[in-house]
Amino acid sequence: MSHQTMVKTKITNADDAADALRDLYPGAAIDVAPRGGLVAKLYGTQTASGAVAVARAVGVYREDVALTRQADGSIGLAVDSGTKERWTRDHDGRTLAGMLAQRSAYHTLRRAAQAAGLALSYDSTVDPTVAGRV
Amino acid sequence: MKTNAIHLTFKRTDGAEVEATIGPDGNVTLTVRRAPAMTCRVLTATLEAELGDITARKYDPRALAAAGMTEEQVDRTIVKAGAGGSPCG
Repeated sequence: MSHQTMVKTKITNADDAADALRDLYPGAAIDVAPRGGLVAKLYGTQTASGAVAVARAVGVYREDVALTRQADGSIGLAVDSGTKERWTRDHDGRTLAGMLAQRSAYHTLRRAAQAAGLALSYDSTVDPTVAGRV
Repeated sequence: MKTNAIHLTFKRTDGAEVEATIGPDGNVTLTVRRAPAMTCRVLTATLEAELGDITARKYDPRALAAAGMTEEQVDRTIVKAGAGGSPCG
């Protein structure tokens, strides 16, 4: 039997979110808070409080991005509107929030699947023959 | 606008398979196959719980026929029971 579910991603795991940031900002300095803690130092003009991870603006990235814990327990982006607009323009219409959610879900799935005894047998992001490659 | 999705497939030694498509907005479509009912329930519930909020379910037509229920009836039953996961055939 098969079963299909559609799930609206809610980022709740700080480690997965930090891994997503690393994917989006390769080479950037990323500070991740200890489990349950907060990042002590925020960079640049970022004024968000309660950040669980911060990507530091470096070189071509020109921006600071923080991840903050929301009231409902989810993790959201704290980033200025200029950065959002620039990121979307530079990435062919893809939004920073969308890409963060996608990459975070990717890491969450891989982690959860492994814990459930499932082995990865196909990953389109590492298979150059697939058109849907990120 | 590009709509690149990420496709993942997982397999387990008992034959269960999970296919996942992660859309550009981060939303995920999970399909569990070749799993006995209880295994399917556990796998589905585990992955759903990690990912976020369920927006829709689509059941195997054979499972629905066996239960004599529509998808809506199954969803209502799950909500009433306060249970996650799925009937999974």
